[in-house]
Amino acid sequence: MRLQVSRIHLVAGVLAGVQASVTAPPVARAADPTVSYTFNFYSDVNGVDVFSNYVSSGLRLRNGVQLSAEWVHDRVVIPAIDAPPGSQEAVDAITTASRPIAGTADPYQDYVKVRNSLETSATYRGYDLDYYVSSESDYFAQMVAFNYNHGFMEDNLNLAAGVSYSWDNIQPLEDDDTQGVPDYRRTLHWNVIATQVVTPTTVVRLGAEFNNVRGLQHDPYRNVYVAGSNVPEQHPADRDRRDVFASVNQYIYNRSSVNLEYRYYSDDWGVASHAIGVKLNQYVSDSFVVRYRYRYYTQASAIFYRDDYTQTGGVNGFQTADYRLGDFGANLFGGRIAWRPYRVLGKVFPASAQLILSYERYFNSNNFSANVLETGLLIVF
Amino acid sequence: MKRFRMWLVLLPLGLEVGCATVRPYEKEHLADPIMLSVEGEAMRELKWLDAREGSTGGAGGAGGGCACK
Amino acid sequence: MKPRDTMRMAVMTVALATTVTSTRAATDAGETLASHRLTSFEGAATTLSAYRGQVLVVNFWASWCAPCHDELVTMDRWNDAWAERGARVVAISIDKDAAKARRFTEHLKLSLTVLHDGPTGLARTLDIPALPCTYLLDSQGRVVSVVRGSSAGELAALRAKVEAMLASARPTAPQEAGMGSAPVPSMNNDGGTR
Repeated sequence: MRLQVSRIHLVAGVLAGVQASVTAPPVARAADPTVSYTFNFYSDVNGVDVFSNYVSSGLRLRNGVQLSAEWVHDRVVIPAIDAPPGSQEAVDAITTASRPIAGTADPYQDYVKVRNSLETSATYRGYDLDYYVSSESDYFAQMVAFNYNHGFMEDNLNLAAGVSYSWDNIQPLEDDDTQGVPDYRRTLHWNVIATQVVTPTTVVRLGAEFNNVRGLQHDPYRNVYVAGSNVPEQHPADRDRRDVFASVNQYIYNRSSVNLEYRYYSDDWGVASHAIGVKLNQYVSDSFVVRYRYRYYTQASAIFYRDDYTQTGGVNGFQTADYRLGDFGANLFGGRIAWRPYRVLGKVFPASAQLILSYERYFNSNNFSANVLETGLLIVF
Repeated sequence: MKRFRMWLVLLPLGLEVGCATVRPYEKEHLADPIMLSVEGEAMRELKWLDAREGSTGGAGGAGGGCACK
Repeated sequence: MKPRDTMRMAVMTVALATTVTSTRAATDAGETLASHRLTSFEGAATTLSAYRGQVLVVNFWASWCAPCHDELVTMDRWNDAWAERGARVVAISIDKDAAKARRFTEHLKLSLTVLHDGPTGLARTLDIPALPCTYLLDSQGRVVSVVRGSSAGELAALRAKVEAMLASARPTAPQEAGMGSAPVPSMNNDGGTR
């Protein structure tokens, strides 16, 4: 239905100096603009392709306020539907966009959906204020967020807390079996995160997040087979979601580092999951860094999820054709190259320029697989 | 929910066990780009993982540890 | 003795002890700064005692510390402005890799005096409390103040202090400068150059 509205887990304030590559360049001006462009291409086994363009910029004012903005343009191509109307339609990938079928939308042709979003933020001395807006044909989303972080113990410990509120207006497109009834979704999110420097080469992070979601949370274009009949998909209108996560970042003396991550998630729909990942970074030369990663994910299904619904009324009035609410496991493998071309192409690229190229392969126990390719350029002026 | 509450209690306690204060002149490795995430990468990844999985979270937060004021 | 008098004496004793301790610490830090051996990027050795007779701003920085970058450029401008007035900025890199620090200063096109010491030298001996960290020394080599960080307010206050010290300074014959690109101003008996 809608392109995914990212839960903006805002960077509550990068402590000055840690991200040397993206902050103050060596110039005398008070304004130190940064510009970056990232292209992301997603393609999965169902034929869904997503082309995403990210353009972001940042500026620091003389009074210390940091302003930033990011514009994202997503173009989702959902393939033609082979199955008859009422059967499980293709659901998109990166954006969770779905598509109307029949009526004015020809189900036997590729369906293209476009989303534009803009996020702006202002950061000052640990305080961060964000505004986000996104728009697509059937979904309009807005969000405001506030975050604060503070260092303790000579900045060896950083505590951050944030809250955000989003309000989405949904206007499903009409087709043969979808009513264009306006609807809404509201999300309240908060998080607390602690980052601790343990040794000169080790950083540990612990965090907890909570989301309270109200409103439309199923696909208005999708039907489910229930006891031999096609009925509209129906999810509960309330959902409390929570997760805790931990990560360890360790520098290793042969100019490499390893990152271990774990996240536990649960919600009141019964979905519970574990995600564990490892990343290994290695300098190949002073200007070349390669990264390898692996992630394992396992999920338990929602209470009302069934592969086949044999009773009318689903489970307590809820029924879903969304495989994402079922049991499954997933693996992700990936590699990334980061290159600073200044030494070789100093006349073309400034010293701060960084080129990134990455590829990831994702597959799960539902015989679903996807390839994600990303490339980007970051320049600090 | 009980397990979640347990994590909330452990979260602040776990941080202070056995942590010595690292001085600002000892933090060179912590500022190395290989110890930091690429700007926006976690959010971009969460965007497509959210579309493929039934859970969410874990992408945000401040970074600590430089003492560069 | 009345209780009020006792209290007054206790407060004065604590204040005096604190002042003595602070003065002693400042003197110790000044002596440490003056005597510690530092190295230029060309490998020549020197100490900060070579700059006695001038107001000295000693800035500890690192190439991996982003707030240090802008501050270095600001202090480079200060150094140019103070070169003929009896004050100097000396920037000490605590990078492990001196070559990396040198490339960084060349990229910034700094003209002030830059020396290298690494993370286990003066920075550890003084146990600098933050990065960047700036010590202000008077012409006798005594530490007048320590600036933690690089906020606009802190830098403005530091500059104002130096200007005040220059305005009230009575010049003395300087020792021969060991390093640096700016010539030591010559002094004469009528109060020096301005």
